[in-house]
Amino acid sequence: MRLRFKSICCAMLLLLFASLTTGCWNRIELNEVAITSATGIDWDGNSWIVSYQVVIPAAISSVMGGSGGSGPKSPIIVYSTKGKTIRDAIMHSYSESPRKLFFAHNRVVVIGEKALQHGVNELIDVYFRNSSTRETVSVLATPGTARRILEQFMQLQAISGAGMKEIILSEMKNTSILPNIPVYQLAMEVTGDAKSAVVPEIFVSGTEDTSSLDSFGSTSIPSKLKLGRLAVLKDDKMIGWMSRKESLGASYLRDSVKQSFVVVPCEDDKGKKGYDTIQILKSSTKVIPKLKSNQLTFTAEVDVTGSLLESTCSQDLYKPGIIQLLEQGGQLQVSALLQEAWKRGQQLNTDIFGAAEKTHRKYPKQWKTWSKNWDQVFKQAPLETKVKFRMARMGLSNKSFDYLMEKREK
Amino acid sequence: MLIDKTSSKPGKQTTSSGQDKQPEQVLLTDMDINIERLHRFLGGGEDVVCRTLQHRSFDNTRYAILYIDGIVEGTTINTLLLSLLDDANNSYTNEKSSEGAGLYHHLTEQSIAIGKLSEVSTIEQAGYSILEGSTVLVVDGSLRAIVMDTTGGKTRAVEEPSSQTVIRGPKSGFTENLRTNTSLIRRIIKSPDIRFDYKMIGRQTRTNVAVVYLEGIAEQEIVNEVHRRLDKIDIDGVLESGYVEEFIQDRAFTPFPLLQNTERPDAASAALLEGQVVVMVSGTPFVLIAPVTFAKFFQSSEDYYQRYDIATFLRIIRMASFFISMLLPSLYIAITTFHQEMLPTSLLISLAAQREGIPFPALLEAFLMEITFEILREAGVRMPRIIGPAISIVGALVLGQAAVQAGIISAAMVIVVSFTAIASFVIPAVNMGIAARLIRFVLMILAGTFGLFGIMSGLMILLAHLCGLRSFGKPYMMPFSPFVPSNLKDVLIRVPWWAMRKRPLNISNDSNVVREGAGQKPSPDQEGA
Amino acid sequence: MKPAISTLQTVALIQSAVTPTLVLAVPSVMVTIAHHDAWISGVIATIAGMIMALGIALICRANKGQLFLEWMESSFGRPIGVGIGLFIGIYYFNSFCVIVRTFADFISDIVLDSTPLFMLTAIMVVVAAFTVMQGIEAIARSSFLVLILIMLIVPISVFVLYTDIDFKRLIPLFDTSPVRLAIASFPPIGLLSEVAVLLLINPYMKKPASVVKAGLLGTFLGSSQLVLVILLSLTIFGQQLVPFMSYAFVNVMSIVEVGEFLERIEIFTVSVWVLTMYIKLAVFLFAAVHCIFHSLRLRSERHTVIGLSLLAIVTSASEWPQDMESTFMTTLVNMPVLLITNILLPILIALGLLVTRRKRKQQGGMRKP
Repeated sequence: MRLRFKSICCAMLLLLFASLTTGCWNRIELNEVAITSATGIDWDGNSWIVSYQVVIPAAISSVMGGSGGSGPKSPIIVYSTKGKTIRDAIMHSYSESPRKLFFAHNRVVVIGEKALQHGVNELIDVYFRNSSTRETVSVLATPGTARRILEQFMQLQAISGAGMKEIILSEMKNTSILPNIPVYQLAMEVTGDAKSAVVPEIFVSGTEDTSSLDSFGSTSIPSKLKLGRLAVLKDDKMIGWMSRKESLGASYLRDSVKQSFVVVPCEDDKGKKGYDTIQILKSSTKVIPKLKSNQLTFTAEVDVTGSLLESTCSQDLYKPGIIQLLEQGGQLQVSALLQEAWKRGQQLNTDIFGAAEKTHRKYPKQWKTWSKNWDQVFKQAPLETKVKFRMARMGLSNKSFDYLMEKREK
Repeated sequence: MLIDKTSSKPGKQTTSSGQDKQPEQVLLTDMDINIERLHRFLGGGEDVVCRTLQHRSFDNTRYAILYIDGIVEGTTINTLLLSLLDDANNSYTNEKSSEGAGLYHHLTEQSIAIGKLSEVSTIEQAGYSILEGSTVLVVDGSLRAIVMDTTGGKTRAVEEPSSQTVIRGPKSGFTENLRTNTSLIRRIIKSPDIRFDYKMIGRQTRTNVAVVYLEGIAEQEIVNEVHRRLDKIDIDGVLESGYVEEFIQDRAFTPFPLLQNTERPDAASAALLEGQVVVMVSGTPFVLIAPVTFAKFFQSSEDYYQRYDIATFLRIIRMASFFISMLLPSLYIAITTFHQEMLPTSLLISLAAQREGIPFPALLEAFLMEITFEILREAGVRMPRIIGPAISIVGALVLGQAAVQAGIISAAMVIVVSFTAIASFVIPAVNMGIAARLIRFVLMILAGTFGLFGIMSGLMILLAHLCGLRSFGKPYMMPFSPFVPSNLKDVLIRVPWWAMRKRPLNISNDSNVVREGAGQKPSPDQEGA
Repeated sequence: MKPAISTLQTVALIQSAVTPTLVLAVPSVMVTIAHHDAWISGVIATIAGMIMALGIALICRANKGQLFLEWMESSFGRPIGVGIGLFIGIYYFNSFCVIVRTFADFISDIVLDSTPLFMLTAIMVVVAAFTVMQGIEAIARSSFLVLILIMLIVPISVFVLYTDIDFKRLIPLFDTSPVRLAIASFPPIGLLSEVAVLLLINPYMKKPASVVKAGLLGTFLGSSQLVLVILLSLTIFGQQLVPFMSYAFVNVMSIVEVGEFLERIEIFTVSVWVLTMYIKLAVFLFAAVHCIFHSLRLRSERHTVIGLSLLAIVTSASEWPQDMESTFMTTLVNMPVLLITNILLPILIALGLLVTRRKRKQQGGMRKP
């Protein structure tokens, strides 16, 4: 009995020592990781250049806590490595960084135009093969090099990587021109029936860089990071840009509009022209494929609810007919947007609107033949638009300010 | 006054323990020899008092009382002596029987002013009775001696329990005196079904142990099992119920308590009313309750005195604190050293900033702080009350603040450790808190080695262990697994009293479970009807 | 005292004996074969699994409270009984090793990539052995608690994923040919056949008659989790992406983002899954120990557990030097073994029982006149 107890004790002790002495296989302390907040990917013709925006925690906390003594320190640092493959490039980072790069808190991955034209398949593979990266990272495109984007400081947000994600999210929520594309969604679109995808653009507006903390000594900074157009990908390679207007139309067609706005021209009794700004509170789109005598057509049924934000026409909104006028204006605007985007899509020969999936679902049999030359089928398919525009609210005042002014003059 | 011949059997225990094989010495007719032998049996200390008297009516027959000073009730002895002396000076003419036996009868029936009497016929029996605080009266010429229960002396008064305090509820607590303790229970439960079975455990200490239960409500099998296990104990001394607990629990190697203890009479009574068995040990205010389940340790007697909603809330808080005090440091280690991706970015950055320049790995850091805290806590318990504040100043300021400022320990770790410590005090049962304290360290090592996977492995071992435990044959994880839905009313939540119509199933006698009348839910039109 | 496990606990045991392997790699394999109709294959597998469970349970009903091996010996004689016992014992031991290896590979893929595989298999086997030493009752009770935990976690996971779900990704239905659907339902059916462990568990049940209910419900719970994982991964990622994922349910949980604070909860899901995995390991180790212990008439159950565990640690860590080999083992080699032991053998036993019973009846009939 005593022997058994002793042997159990011995085994326990051995196990304890084993786990204590060798217990560092996967362990990595917080001060051994370099937290990457944004990654940039560029292609220089024959190798990948991967840039990392690394957070310096001590500097951040002194920025936040205000207790840092010795002058302002940059909260982030950017550096790049080069390699035959993306992972190869990342591996090279070990020879120049004192800490292990840690990608789980990476917020955005910015891809340079050249890299986008080279193809994103490898990037997607990297993201799905490794458990340390997260698939919810937002993908952004940039016309220049990605590294330049990472180098920019941002107002109000010390970590510009996180800031970029915040911008794209708030943009998507409030104006819905550009969609937020996480890596997994990009992968879904690239592999989808249409093999077409979109990536929002981010660029530096302004000629100078805001890459030094000195810029924050004044009230205005020389340049800003800004969201711009929409990059369109076909078979994982970028083939062109869509303007903001077109991309808003694309957003409607992709049914990704959460909140947006339209500016409707208006005219008052005296023929004075102005504009009504209508906020779109709710929108839902159904793109319905229809097969009529061997010709595939699409109908986009859009249901929009709006609210008046601003009016510069002097009109009495209580007057019957005015609302109908507004609604008609909105309708026209929205359907024009849709048509424009559709045309642009056809012109670029990419179906980024998910029309292929919808057709596949509705006509699974015919799809087998169409899928072979979907681009041709798509190119010839016309789009019909049915927009239902409903004004829900007029705001707090029911007359425009101009209208009141005129009354008083009388 | 009738003599209860059965109530005291001191000799039985010694023979059964098999230690005292000497032939028993029978009382002789010669009182002096008896007294001499008793003195020798008791070792003849200074506190053994022997007072000899003579009775006028019975031929001046001599008789004597023997007791040990200090363990008898002084006032009782005084009244006894008064009555004996008063009686000795009276002359009774009608007494005809022979001196010794006649006096013996006379005394037992007419003169002793003590409630509880019994008679013995051997030196050992008489001697053990004296050691227990009784007074023995020997009469010259009689082969028997009278044992008078004069137990008493200085004991602690009934005070508020120090380890299990409540805001609302009875303030009395058990004391070291077994008789006081039984009386406290008697005063709460006035049922004729209540049973007190006494035994004596301990070769040297001869500690009185009472097994208390409600007949018909407690399961007879469990009562028998308690008796069986108690009878098996053979030890020199029992100084506290903890001795008994370690002998009678179902499994030797477990960090979890398999018997509950309380120093609250109301808690013990509640246990009795639910069909549990209470074991009282003389010399300690802590009584044992069996059988018990895991969930019982999170119930406080106050749960039943406060409203049910707050009681439910508090129970959930307690369960949560148990898990916090067991898991928080290991989760912190696992997440900050293995799964940093689970933290929100801003939290990660501020944690990382705190860790800049900390020389130790998180596991070591946590160990240092936890052990420091355990030392502080032990110091707080052991040290004289007067230096208490000094320790708290040193502990809080020097160790907490200075260690953080010196960059040895990260501030987050101090927060984690202090929160863990506070959470461990929330669990009403101290012994369950101790279990959490021990397991914490094991889990910390596992977390430092395998991360969350290690914690889960540790929890699985814990789960299997808990599910395999039994308390007096009853599954430890009872209302959860095996799943007893009706018992869930008083586990994580406490439903109002009128909804708990049944006693917990499977703990008490299952043929008699209804404990209250139906349809007692208060409703507005109750008055009118 | 003979351990007794309730019907609910049996359900939980069967559920946890089936689910962990089922939700691991199977969904993406099924999606690879059956595309977006993979969930239909899942439903087919569920039905097939429940039929198997029914069959096994019906065989169990013939047992009148004897331990499985005692029963076999009393019906077919000692040599055949011992043979069956050893065969099943070795099968369970082998599956135990394979499962330990699969799980160790999984854990090492997901979180602990640089921890030596040997340590992972060692800790898994140690935990399983400890659980087995607590007895079948403790395994059953723990499995019930784990089942409750799963019942809590699953609805929460579906709730937090709700915004990402798009049921349109499942349309058009029956786009895949029935042959493919049938092929896709093969792997889960193979794994669901592990419900045959009921034969060993049944004698320990409090109410052995409710074995049919327990088997059916347990299988249903297990395979419905498979269908759920397939549905979630399909409706969230679409059919093209799921085949890329080795462990679909992990990827599904990893895209959850609720506010800024609740992200990357896949580690939590994996942690809960780890618990069911341990139950599964314990059940299999229990089965192996039970069979070998009883058929060889060994003296100490505890020492059998220790011996088999040590053997299992070594086997699972070094039998297959590479991940790929163990994957090959689990997907291809294991399949026929699974089917033989879990389907063919019970059928043979059932036939044997029928034959012996008829013989006995005939003998009884012969004696009567």
